[in-house]
Amino acid sequence: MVCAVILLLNFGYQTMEMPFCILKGSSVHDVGDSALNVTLYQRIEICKLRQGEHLILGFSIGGGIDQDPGQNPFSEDKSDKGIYVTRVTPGGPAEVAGLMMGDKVMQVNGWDMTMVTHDQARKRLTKKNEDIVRLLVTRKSLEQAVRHSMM
Amino acid sequence: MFCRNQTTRATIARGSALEMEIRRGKFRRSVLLDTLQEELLLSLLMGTLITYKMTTWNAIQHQDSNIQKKIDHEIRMRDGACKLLAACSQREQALEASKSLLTCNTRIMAYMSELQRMKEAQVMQRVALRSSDAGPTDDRLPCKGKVAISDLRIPLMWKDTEYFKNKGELHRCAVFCLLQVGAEIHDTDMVIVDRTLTDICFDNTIVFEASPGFELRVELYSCCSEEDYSTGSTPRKLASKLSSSLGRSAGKKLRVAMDPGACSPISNGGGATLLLPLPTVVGPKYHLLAHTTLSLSHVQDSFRTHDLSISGNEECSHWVPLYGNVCCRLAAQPHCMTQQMMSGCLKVKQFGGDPQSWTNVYGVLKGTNLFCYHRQEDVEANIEPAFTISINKKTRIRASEKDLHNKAQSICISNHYGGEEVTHTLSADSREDTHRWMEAFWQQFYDMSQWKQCCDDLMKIELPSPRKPTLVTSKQGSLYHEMVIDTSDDISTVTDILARRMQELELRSQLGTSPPWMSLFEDSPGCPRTHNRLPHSPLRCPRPGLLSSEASLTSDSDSPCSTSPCSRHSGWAEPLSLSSPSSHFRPRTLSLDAKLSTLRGRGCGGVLQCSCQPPSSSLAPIPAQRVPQATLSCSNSTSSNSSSEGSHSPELSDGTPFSHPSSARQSLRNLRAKLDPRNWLQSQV
Repeated sequence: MVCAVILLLNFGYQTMEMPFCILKGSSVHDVGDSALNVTLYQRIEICKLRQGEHLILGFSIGGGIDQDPGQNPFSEDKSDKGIYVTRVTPGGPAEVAGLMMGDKVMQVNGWDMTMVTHDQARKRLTKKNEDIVRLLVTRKSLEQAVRHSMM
Repeated sequence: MFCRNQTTRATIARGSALEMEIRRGKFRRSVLLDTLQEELLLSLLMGTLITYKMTTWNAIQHQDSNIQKKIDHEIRMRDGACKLLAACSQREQALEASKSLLTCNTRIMAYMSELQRMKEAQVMQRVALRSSDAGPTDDRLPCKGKVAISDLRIPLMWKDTEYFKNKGELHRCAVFCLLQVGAEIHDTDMVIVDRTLTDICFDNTIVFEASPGFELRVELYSCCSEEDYSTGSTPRKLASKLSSSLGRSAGKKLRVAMDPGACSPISNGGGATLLLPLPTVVGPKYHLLAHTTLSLSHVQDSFRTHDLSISGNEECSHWVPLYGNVCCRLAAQPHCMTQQMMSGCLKVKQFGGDPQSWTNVYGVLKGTNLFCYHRQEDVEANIEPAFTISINKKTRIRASEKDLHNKAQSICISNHYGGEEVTHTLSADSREDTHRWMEAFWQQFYDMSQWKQCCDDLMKIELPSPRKPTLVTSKQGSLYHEMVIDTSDDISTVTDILARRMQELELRSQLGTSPPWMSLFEDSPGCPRTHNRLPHSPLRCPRPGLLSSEASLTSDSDSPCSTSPCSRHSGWAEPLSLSSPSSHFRPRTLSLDAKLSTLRGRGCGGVLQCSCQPPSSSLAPIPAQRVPQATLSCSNSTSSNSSSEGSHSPELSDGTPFSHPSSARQSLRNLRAKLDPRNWLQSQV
């Protein structure tokens, strides 16, 4: 039964003709500010997928200034109240664009996401009049990758 | 002898009878007249020509129009309140509307009185300007201040008979307080009083702007909140005033005006405010129950008890047995204590020091101190002043005419610190500055003498904070604790849940939080994974225990799943609850609880139904696998529902597959989950 369902799901994603087709995931490595802390960001552009009357992105977020940061499994610093990607729906727009679980979302379409409540973050991602969201994310592995490449 | 010391108008002969009359203030209450009429009459009386100054008239109009606007506003509010009263059906609403009505009426009357007083003052001013005397030298006016009344509490004294009569119903009254300073009127919230209350408490803090001679009138109104609302007539006071004011003729007005006892709040002059006849009010009516007046002598930084004058007796319907006192905190913050009264550059020298050692400072006079900063910028930067000279009741300030070294005047300030007298000498840049500083010091002293005890120390006034919305408190271990799926309730979300749960477990083990007895499962034989739906998360590490549960998830897909969530719960809970100290899952509904307990009896091991099937009410026969462990796990999952959710309490509930909870319940769950601090919410976007 489950297989059948999953098949349906895949089918669903693939047969969708609408915005799903344009998927860009540009990796621009921006180097952050101070010489001491080099933060690497990745810009990810996700096109929302229309499912019925909803526009979905295909990932889940956790965190926020009104949440308990100690329960965040992805953050390095357990007092970090930022927004993290907790799950990426496989095959969904977010995965195709290059978003990965554990990413910390810094900005969405220019709006800051480091000092927002959980609900504010969700709202900024699910605006009905926006078809594309441009995220600025950071992840540990980026940093490590660059470090490794520099060594 | 005529004395023409003003550039205006006519003069009045000194020593004339008219001047005497004016001085005796007999013309004070002439404001009932139309201003123009007034002028003519006065001129007739005085027998002199009065030049009409158009500019003065405009100034008066401007002040009047301010009050006029307020009156219009209140009239509109009153109309609104009347309409609301006529329209509302519930008792509470009617009481509130009636309270607003009373407040509006009182405000209108107060504004009318204010208008009258202003006109009187203008007339007096004009008359005084025309007189030869410039009048007394301008009186120094004390600074205004904030007066705050808070924490009003009126103790009640119920007789024991109250408890025994009317056993059936509780005699309830609605009460509120009206606080008035001058023309400013504020009302408190309405409180319903019955015999279970020992005190009437009003939480409001009300702040007025007042001068030290203020009179704060506190009035307690009450209304019985039970009887039918009979057609009440307009308040008698207002009706009588209406009739008396509308019936006057000019001559009568003047006669009444000459009588110092007369005072009517309604004037027909100026902006021609004619008080519209009040509509008959249908609804609950408030009556004055008690009143008292507070003034500067009652101001104190702490709570004080004051006496109440009670009107009414036990026979009235609106009676509430008052003890006779009111407790409140009346605090005052005069502006001279909170604002900078004077600031400027000064040179300061301490007496007895080197005659040449003048320090340049920026002085700020505030409260009981003269703060001397090094620079003007320090004031905004909140840097500590270089030094502070206290200016209080015991300080003596005098201006010395000539200083040996300076030509300009200097000011000497002497204080007693401890036993000794310390004198500072201030010198300003110019003569005008010195004069202004002296003036400021005089004003400060005057204010302190007027505000008396309020200037000893700054009293704290807490401004009323905006009302915080009452939060829905989530119950501990509530069954409705989890979030529901906001987005479309489709299949994909459900499978996403499964996938996510998988990932979560993997994640947890990845992070090294797997408890020691997880190893139990590592021994169990791994079953081949039969489908590839379950996601390969990058952090996944193979867990044989999980594989077995996955396998069992895929098996048995045919049997109907009426108890899918619980079975899934139990199925998942089996490895998970044993694998984690706290269960993630909570049974959702009471019926679920019941189902679980039956399951416990039957043994609910290992059967993991696909949760996508709609539930049926009958319990499916569940093959018992690993019975003893199952029972353990079931009880674990149910008993640990009150424990913390752990790090991944999912937002998406599993409620969808087995029932379709109403949207109201969904939003309630949403709210409760959001407010539970133990949750770490995740939202799907």
